[in-house]
Amino acid sequence: MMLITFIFLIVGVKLVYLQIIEGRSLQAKALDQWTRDVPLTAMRGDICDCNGALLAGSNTTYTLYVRPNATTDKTLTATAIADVLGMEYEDIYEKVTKKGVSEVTIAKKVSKASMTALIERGVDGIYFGRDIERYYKYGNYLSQLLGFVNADGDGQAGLEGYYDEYLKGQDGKELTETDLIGRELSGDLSYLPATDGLDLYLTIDSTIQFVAENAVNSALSEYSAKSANCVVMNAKSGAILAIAQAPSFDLNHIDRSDVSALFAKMKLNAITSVYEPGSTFKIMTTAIALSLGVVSEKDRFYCAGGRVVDGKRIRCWRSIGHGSQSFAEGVQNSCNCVFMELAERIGVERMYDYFAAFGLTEKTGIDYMGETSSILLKKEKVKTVDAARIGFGQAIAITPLQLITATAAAVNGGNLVTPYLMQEIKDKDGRTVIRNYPAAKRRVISEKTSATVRSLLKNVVSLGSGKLAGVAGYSIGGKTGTAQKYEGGTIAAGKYVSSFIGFSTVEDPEYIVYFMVDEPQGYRYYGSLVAAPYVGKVFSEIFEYKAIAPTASTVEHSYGEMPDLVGLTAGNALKTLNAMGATYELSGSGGYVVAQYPERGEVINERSVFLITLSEE
Amino acid sequence: MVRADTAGAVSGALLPSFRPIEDKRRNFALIALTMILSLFGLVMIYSAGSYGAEKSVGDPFYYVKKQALALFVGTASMLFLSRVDPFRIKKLRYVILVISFVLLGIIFIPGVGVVSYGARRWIDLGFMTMQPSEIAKFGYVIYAASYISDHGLSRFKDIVSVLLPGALMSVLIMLEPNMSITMCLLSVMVFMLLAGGISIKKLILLLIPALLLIPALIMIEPYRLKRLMAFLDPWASPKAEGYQLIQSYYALCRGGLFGVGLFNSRQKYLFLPFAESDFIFSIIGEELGLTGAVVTIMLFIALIYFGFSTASKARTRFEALLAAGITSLIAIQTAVNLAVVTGCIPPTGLPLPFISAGGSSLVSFMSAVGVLLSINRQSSTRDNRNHKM
Repeated sequence: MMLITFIFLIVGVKLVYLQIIEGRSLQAKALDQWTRDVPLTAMRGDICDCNGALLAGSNTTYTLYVRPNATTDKTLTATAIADVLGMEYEDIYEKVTKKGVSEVTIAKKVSKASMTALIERGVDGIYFGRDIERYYKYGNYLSQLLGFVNADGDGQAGLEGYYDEYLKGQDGKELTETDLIGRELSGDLSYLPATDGLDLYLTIDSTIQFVAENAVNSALSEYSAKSANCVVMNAKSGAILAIAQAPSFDLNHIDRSDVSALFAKMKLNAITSVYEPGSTFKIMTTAIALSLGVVSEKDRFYCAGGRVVDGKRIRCWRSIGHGSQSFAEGVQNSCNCVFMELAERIGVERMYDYFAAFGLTEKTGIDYMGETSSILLKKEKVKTVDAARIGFGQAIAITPLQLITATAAAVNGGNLVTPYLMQEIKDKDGRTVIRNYPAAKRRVISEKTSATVRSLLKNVVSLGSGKLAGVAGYSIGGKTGTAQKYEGGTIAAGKYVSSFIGFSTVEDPEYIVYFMVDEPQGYRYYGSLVAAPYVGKVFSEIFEYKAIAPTASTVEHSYGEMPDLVGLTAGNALKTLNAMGATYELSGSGGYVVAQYPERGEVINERSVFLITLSEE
Repeated sequence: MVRADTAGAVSGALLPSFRPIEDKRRNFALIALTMILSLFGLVMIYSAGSYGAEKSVGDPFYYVKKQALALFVGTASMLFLSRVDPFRIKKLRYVILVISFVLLGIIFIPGVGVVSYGARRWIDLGFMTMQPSEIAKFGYVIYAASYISDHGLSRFKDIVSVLLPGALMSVLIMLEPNMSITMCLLSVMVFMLLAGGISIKKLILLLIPALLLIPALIMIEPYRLKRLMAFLDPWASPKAEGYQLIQSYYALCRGGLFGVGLFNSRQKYLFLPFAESDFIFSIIGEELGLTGAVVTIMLFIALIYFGFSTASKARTRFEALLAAGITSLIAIQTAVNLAVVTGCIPPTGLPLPFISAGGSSLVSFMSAVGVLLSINRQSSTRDNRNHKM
């Protein structure tokens, strides 16, 4: 009796424990066995350009499953599938009659038409799951920026990765209540709909992007370079209009066999790599010096081909020197001596303060995965000689995007902006969910200083080394850059980074175009010759696309045919060029001209830039 | 208060005291409880078994029909036995015992015994199957009550006489095999000895070898050891030994306080094996919740209460022992079934009296209640002549 009573008591306690206390957690475990679910994949959002043109989209395909236990007439079902999908009846019949499985996958990537046709056949036991296939409209275009998704459709790299949260949506599922072996129970079907992803509208303008893509591709082949990169940004808002990089790869046919190679190809240099900016950085030195009032346009400098800093002589790029020149001429000539002196006048402390103000010590904050930031010497460790070199763009490494945003601040009236790629995110009904408003981070220099910087840079294009970036009839400002690459702490012979950064119009800068060729091969490696022409090309096509009218005469004054300078002494050749008022670059050293560009007989004009190769022979 | 000198005296340690209840009301309560439990069982068998029956034999009412027939036979048997003087049963004790052994033996004749789930437990009667062990356990109770009331348990020979047929039966039932009924029978044997007033010293001497026998039995059938361990952590083997218990838990947990409603079980969709028989209590817990489960247990407790009350009021020692033995069988089997379903003891296949699907079980339990009714009738009609209280 006691024992029986005791057992009843224990049973009672256990019942309370199972039914009340443990109830929920046990039920969670049980839920799996009570239902069979067919996944419903959410539609991934599209990626479009600023005009709504599709860049990346998704196709819906269907996966066909069969539940053998829910198929009443297996022959009928198998016949219907074989008919509609054009598959072998025997193979399907075998799957439909398979024992001991709840679901068998019959076919993947079934089209919607086939699915509808099968459903109309009215056979039972068949189920469809929705799958998403990602496609990129232009394939080998914007590849590094857009990125890609993995096999499961999750954003893995680039914007697909950065905005995955918004693009991916929420998968749903169709729950069917079944018995132990998967037979459906009547009337117990619950449907958790998939929430489709949101559409991403970029600041990228497809047309400008095409222009940039063409430019980087021809630059890559023209110079057999390691890479060619182009960025077009709205100088006032920070909206990125184009970002192209060659070589590229086809997003629709990604080779996933070598992941590290894939991610190396994915590296978007403009955002994720740092370079020594070279002379383009003189824009910063100019802006800082003007802002601090330590220089004026009329100040005069003297360049003897080099300058002694801390007892060490640092050469100007032009070994014979620029002689006496005004500050404006110094900028035009890109004279290193001028900028070494400016750096001294500015001083390390103030220089670094301004670097911080210009956003050169931090990431720009662009909405892209894997942005990197500059490499600067520690302020305490910067000696006068280092500061002098930084003044003309050496001993500092920054990302192209940092240079672009800092330059934008220098010329747009003095506001540092955050560059951005996402314009807005909309749902499938076209309602805006998130909108990106350009925001000025801070004012860095005054409106007046900015105007001075602009006019100085205009001269570079109209009169100096930036001539090839010019477009007849349009006002463009800019700066060339040619940096020697360092490898293992020493200068790597023959390896250059040639770049140009330009903006237009000078009076009211809207477009800022950066072009950089990494390791151009051959004797033409100057930014003025390699990068500047492509900036000019990009600008002229933007003007055409945007129907921007020229503000001056588009007629170019012809200088006639290019004379033959080869064999002349250096002195005579330069005399000839100077008489023409030509802008030229010198390569090699010695007393005689051994090569020239353009070739003899080519038509030259006031905007031509010449390259003379000297040798002792 | 239990008085040792009453004719129906059963060892005072075993039975609680009962308030005197008028015998007619006691009989009404016994009939009502039996019918309520059996009819409730019929409903639950339909709910728990219709899906499985439809899938396996194509008739959702398959189990219900069989159970309804058994309910009819059982009711008739109960009413008939309620009018049979227990002493006529006592006279037939050897006949009943022999019939029990014959039935248990017939199972082993090929073609007669039905093998199912690896056990040979049923006799095919053509229109229905019969489980001899269900009859035999009552046959033993009748025999033991008779013997003890005639000879007492003072001599060693008496103890052997009471135990020997039970032990033989146990061996036969064990050979089927049917561990759970064997354990029930062994428990009843112990109970009969205690009710007969055996001294605790002798009992302990007897129990020690019996307890040693349990591990031996487990060794003979190794799968039992695995099943034994499974109840401690069913999730260690969710697809094998632990499966049934996990499914029982899932059913109970889904029920909560008030259940998911009659006929709304999910676990009956073949997830829970033997949902209509051994594990029917899980479905009760799922559909009617803790409330329904507790009410069901209360009904059993009431039935057991009136059973023991019958024993304490019986006019003779034989009737008292018989009533106590019958009630103890009901109590033991109920307790063991509930303990199994809730995972308190290792799982064994044992039907829940009156409720689980199983014709033999229902008929024999109802018949047993009939005997209880008869004992009550005897005590009410002749009690006045027997003023030993």
